[in-house]
Amino acid sequence: MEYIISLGSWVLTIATIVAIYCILGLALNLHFGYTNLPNFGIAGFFAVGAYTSAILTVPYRFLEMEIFAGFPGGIPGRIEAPFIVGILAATAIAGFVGFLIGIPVLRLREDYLAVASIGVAEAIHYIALNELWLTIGSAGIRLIPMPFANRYIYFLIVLLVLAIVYWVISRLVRSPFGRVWKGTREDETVTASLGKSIFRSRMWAWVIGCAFMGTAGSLWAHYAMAIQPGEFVPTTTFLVWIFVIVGGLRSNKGVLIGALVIIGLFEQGTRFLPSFGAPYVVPALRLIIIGVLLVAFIRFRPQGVLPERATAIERHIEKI
Amino acid sequence: MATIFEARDVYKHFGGIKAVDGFSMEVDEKQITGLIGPNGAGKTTFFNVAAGIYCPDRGEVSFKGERIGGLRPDQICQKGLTRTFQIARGLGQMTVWENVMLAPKHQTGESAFGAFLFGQVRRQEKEHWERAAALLGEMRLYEQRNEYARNLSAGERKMLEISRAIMTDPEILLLDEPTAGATVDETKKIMAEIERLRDERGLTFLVVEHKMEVIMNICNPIYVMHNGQNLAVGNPGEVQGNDQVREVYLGG
Repeated sequence: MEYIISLGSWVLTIATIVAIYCILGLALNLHFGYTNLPNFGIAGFFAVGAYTSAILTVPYRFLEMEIFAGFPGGIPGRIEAPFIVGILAATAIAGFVGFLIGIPVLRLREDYLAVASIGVAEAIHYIALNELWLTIGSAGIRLIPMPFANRYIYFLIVLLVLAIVYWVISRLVRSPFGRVWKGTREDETVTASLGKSIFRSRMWAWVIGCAFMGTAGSLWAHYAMAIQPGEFVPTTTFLVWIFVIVGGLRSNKGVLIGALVIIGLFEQGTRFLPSFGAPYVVPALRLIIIGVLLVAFIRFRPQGVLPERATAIERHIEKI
Repeated sequence: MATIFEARDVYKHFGGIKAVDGFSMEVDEKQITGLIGPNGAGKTTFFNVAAGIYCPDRGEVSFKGERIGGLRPDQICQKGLTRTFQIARGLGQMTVWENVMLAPKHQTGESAFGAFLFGQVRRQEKEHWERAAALLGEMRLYEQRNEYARNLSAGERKMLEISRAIMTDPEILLLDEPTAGATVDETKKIMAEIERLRDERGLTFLVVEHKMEVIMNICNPIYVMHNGQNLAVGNPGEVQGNDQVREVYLGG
């Protein structure tokens, strides 16, 4: 009996984490797969969402604890907003931060954009580390409330949000706006010559993707119930890139499969291996396994598990 | 006959290279104006200036009496001037139908919120597809409508590019070597299509071409460009009879 409960709880943990990563993957697919915006700053927007939601919703009790421990006290704990406000604000603020960053960055060529986005994410990481009045710094924020304080209900909430994000992104990509994104990806000059504003369409794709990364951040904060700056490092970003490439760039279903395989593997991949050598050897194997998998995919199946498929016009007219 | 497009004393230099060096031309409404010249004469650079890809160093480009020199390509297209490219630039990883459906202007679904106005988007998509399907039929591309553009032949890609340009509903079309890479059959088809669009829709064309049978058959007047400057202008007979033109371009 106890075994069944712990197995259920283990599956639930993985499923929740995978679902949150799916949102990050869908957002990256919108950025890179459909619009050719290589965003290597995923962790940054994820952090903006997580911190926004945490700062807004954490109870006053947390602030009291911090003051008692010698912290002068800042914003966290003073607002005590409900979860729904936290997640909406996380989405909006991550989108707004994306917009501000997009103004200079989206004019860059794609390789420069990739480098600039890493820099932005690192800047956000250091803000989280150093602006104590806002983020408490390296200790992070604890006591973030989980809605209904029930992991099963929370998992359903995460699934619901994932479904909404999936639907919104799929709809956008199918719509005439998605066509402009694809055109921008294929050839900017041609698309501009057909009367489409490249900057405007790129900006929308960028802001929408960044906003959803913020949504994922909020879901993560309320799931983990404690966040700290050390979680929002480039490893998170690369993990998302890896599963999007393995799953299939430009295919939203592929992203879901990629997340399931890679995140499942990353979180739990070595759980069933017998331990040998020093205690850190086996866990470290996970990264090696994922690295080998990535190399194998890029070499033998660069289009991923589920590649992009052309939609017939007849089907498009029916579905749109 | 009214002048719809005009370039006056246009200069575009790249370092020491004088790509366009004081070129002027006028294009009259509902005419097919030709632009010829040897390789490197500056024809494509001039097109790029006219379509907003480059900003002219000096001189004026105007369309329907309005200055367009220095505007962005999308702004110029919105005003009614569309150009095609010398090497057909299909949007390869998009289907043929996506290529042509990308082009229509003022699509409701082309904004983040507009994409969710289901009824309106569906109605417009149907309308645009009706037009596009007829055009693709005309261009003998209908059968390939669900193919990726990168799978088309060079000639088919040219036809696709012209179809796409027409779908923007332009008043003037700047065609950069519309028959390059096309077979004899396709070339005839493209020529006939250009004349039909002029006659039926009153479209104006400015055509850069190297194939003499195309230029001499459908273009009038013809401008000859050499070293970025005007060399000659006239009807096909006059241009063919011009000694300077024979020397630098036509040969013999």
